[in-house]
Amino acid sequence: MTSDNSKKKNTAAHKRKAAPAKKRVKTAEKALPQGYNDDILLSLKNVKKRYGNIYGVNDVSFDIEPGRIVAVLGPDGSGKSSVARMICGLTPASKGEIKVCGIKPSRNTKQFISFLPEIPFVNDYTKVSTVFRRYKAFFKDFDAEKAEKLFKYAGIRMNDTFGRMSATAMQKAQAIFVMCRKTRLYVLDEPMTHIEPKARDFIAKLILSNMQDDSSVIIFSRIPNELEKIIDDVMFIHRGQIKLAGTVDEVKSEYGKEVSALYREVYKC
Amino acid sequence: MLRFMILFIKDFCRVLARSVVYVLIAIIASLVTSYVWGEGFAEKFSVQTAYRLNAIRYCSVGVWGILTVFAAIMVVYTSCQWFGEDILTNRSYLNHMLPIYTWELVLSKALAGLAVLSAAAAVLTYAVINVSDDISIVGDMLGIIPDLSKSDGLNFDLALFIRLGVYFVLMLCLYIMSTAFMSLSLGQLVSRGVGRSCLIFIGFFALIFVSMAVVMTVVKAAGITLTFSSIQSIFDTAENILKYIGNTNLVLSVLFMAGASTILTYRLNV
Repeated sequence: MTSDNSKKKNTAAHKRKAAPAKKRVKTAEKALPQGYNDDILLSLKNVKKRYGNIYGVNDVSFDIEPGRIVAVLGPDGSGKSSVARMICGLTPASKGEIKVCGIKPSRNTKQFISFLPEIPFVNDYTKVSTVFRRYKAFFKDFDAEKAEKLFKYAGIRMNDTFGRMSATAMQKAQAIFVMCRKTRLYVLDEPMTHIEPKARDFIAKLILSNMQDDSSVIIFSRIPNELEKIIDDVMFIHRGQIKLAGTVDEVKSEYGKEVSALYREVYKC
Repeated sequence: MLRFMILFIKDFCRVLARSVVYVLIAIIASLVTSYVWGEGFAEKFSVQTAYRLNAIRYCSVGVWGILTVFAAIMVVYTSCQWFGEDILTNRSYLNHMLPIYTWELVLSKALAGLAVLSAAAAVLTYAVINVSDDISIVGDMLGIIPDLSKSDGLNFDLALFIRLGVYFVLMLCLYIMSTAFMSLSLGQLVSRGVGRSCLIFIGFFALIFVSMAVVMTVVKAAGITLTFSSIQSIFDTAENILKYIGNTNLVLSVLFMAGASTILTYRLNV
């Protein structure tokens, strides 16, 4: 995140380095668009999103540097998904500035973002193999071999239809698709909600083992427990505003609590 | 190009799968009509109940005609519905994250709709021709045009007329689809809610009115006037109308699709 990250102990980065079965591949070089700057992968400045008379997102600002896993935590209706969709260019910001690798969200930024939405991004009648072929055809940075191995490991068959899968299997499959791209910014909206605890560990491992050295992950969630083990930075968002931000270590030392305990205290849940 | 083909095939299969049932219903109706107009069916009626036979026969032609038109309308409607579902709902996130231009998404949907419509039109035309052999009234009506083209002193190319007719119908359908695409895209200018629905509704009718004004201007500029002084003038006017309105619809369709792509590129609000 913005503030003095270099000085802090990079806990999640340490965990990633310690992970044994990890293959670290640098993101493939591509023809870079004008204005490209990867010193800061994501930058939000005074971003607002208005829905009628209400601000769903109100004056949100933060930066994310390469190599970080950031969690944006907050209850339902706090503006998490709106921020995620604005970063991905799926909805425009009412005010403020968003930049992904120095570029405003547009067609050019799509190549740098891998997005996992909260709701299924495929139709019920779609087969895993169909989405697999689509990813392979459209995304040059998609590691098909790795995805196949992960599907096998997760017990998901290529012929499975999304509509007939359990919520957990569907989320696992979507997460595999998203994380098997070698891109710069992974935007994950509620990757661990609506799934069983064991699957949460699978997704946590998936994130740790697949993100690149030069990439970052931003996770929007209302379930902090499993995330705490893998994140570097944390932000609490409430009614569209960032209420608390810092590295995990900072938060722990300042409040004397684990992130999940602090989350329960702040949001009284 | 390969990526566009993948998009097109996906859209084509989806629109086809959703609208094939309506085309099948129309084909079944044509088979039923053909049977009703056959000798075998007539044998079941006596001279006293012949009026019933005639009533059934003419009703079947009416129902078959309605179902054929309904099938064509449903293909266009399905294309528009698929556009909304695949581009403007939560399920469209993956489409919008693909490294492609928005116009490719819009164009593939329009072309897929047009391709399905062409296929449906071909099948339904075959059904019409097949049934017309059995139904004397339809056969007579279809027979008038070739007879007329062979009339002395009448300069009328039947093949050209049919080509223009097909072109006109396809362009009209493309125009309806692109108008729907454009109005649905206009809804993206505001966040979800009643405002969006109102904007789509108003936008659709505004586009229709603008289009009508454009078509009228083109017809006037081309100097086309409706004259019924002779059969030749009727055919000439019809030919000009098909040509000019078909071309105008094509231009309007391209403009609306470009407008839809521009809105979806810069003001996407899913």
